[in-house]
Amino acid sequence: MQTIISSPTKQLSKDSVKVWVISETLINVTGFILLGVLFFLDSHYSWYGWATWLLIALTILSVSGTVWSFFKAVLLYKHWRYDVNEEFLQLKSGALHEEHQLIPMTKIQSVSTHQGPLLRKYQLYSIKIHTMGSIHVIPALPEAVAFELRNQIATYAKVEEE
Amino acid sequence: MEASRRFHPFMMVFEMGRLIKNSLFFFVFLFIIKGGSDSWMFFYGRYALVGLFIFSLISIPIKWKSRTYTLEEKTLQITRRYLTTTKQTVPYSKVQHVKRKNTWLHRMFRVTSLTLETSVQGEESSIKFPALDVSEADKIERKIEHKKGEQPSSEFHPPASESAEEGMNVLGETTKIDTDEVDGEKVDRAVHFTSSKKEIIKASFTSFSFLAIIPLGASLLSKMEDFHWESKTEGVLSTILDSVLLTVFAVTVFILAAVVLGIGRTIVKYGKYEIASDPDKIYITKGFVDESYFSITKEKVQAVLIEQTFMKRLMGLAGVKLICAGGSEEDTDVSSLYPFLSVDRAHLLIEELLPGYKVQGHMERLPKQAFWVRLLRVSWLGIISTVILFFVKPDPFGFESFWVMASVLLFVFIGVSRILNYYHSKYVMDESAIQFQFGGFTSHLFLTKREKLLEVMVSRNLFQKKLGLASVNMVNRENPVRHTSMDDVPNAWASEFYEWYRKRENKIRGENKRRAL
Repeated sequence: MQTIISSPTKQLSKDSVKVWVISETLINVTGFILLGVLFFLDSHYSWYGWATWLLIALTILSVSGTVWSFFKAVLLYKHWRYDVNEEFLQLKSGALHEEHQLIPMTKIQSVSTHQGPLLRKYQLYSIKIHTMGSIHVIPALPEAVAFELRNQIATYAKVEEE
Repeated sequence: MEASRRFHPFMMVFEMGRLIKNSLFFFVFLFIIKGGSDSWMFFYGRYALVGLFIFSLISIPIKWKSRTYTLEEKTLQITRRYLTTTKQTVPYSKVQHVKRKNTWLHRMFRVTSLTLETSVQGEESSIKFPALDVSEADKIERKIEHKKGEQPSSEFHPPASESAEEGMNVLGETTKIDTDEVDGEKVDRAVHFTSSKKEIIKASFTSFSFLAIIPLGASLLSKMEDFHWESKTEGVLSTILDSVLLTVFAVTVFILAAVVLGIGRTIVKYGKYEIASDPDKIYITKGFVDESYFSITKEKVQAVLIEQTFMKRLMGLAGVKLICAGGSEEDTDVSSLYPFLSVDRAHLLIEELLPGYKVQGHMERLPKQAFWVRLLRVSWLGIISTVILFFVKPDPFGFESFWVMASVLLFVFIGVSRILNYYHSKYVMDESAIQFQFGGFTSHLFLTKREKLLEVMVSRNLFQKKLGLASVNMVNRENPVRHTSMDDVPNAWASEFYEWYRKRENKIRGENKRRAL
């Protein structure tokens, strides 16, 4: 059943997994530090009983979230596909919630590349594609590929259609 | 190129009116309600208000003097030389639709207001002419149509009163052909619909306009009761008799007043309604006191939405809305065709007005698996409400387990709505158009064409994958965009939909070639 829609074929950079894992870990570590501080305050000032339970619940959620984030990064990479031709930009993503998007070139308003500190570490770029009502992001592409794709989209999207 | 012009001088009258209307509250507040207060805030506030008012008043003629517009060949230019000079250029082709609104003041001075809506986001999205000569407004509208020579007869036609008396137009026929003779040229303008007495009455029942009187009547009744209790000296029997008579009398008056008021309100709102079209455009005129007018080029219509509330469905009525790009949220009702059409008439009207649009009678139903997916989907509304109810535990009727009842009722309501939604959900597409029907208590029928779709998405969650279902989502231009989705269609159909949209390329390519030449 999966193959009825002709899937796009191009993949993200393999380093995207590392980028995601690192960024998720950073966020999670911050979260755990915050939780630790809260636990300390809780025991020190002996807060209400429910506050402790809430913190325990949050901890369980965070731990499972952290474990999940590693799988998520791998799954995201495995299932992300994009493709571009003269008429359409095609995006496919998601393992559990699978999305296929089809965007006509003529409806694209602008395209840009972005790079944060983590992406810079691996010399990756993300591409943002603005359409009239939404923004589509291709998260992590190697520099050369990203620039080429950006220019390609820009060229294709130039075609006017009213 | 044409010379630049000032706005109509009556613009100043309207601006002044608006200024007075807007500042009236503050004047009343500072000078009457807080008139006795010596607090520095109100003391200086009064001076500030008067100063501001005078400043605004003076700035009105300056604004008028500094603002000009030019009707170029392909663009409209508006120049404001105030403190900063702004020059705004609007290509006529980017104007999505045109609105006029005539208050009694406009009619007294025989002018009209004109608003051009573009699809730009933000403040400058619409160009407003608060006052214009009717002929000038027509001229601007004609410019927008790219047809200088032709007369589109876009005058502000009051619906012909005889046809309103005669009643509803015969189904499927455009009964009246207006042949206007303006500037020596004849243009056919077909009137498709005028609201009749029968429809007004139906409309006032359906919209529950009678209920408008309830707050009014309730206070009246309570006053009567007060009055009644003062005459305590009379016998018990006569009191009851009196009370019965009085009640009967009050109820009769109440019902009569409700009917009169309700119908009156409906007449004012929907009474003078006319939907007309010529080969290129659609015109909607309505309103008794404040006339409003809406015109749109047929190809700028992005989609059509037929809406049926629960009540309307019982009455066999439906409202039709033209989805168009641009415009602000609050005046979407301007673009609605008559909201109380019979369903058949609504379908016919769409075909008459919009070539290429046709309501498909036969539509596909959702597969059976979808029923359970939908019914058993987690209802966050229900869960969150239940949690809140559990903690708050309100007991307005004095019994403790009220929250359980409320929660159960809510879930039943959600369930019924979902079941209705399942049975309402239908879909169909053909070569160039697509049609979705959805909604629980209020159902919607959404029609659009492939070339009007901005992008599409097909998605599948874990459950849908197991059951061979998928959700499809499509995006139309509106303000800024409108998402329409259909959940739980069969996987195969979703793929078909995706490929159907991919096929739009052929047409575009042809267009580009033409453009390139």
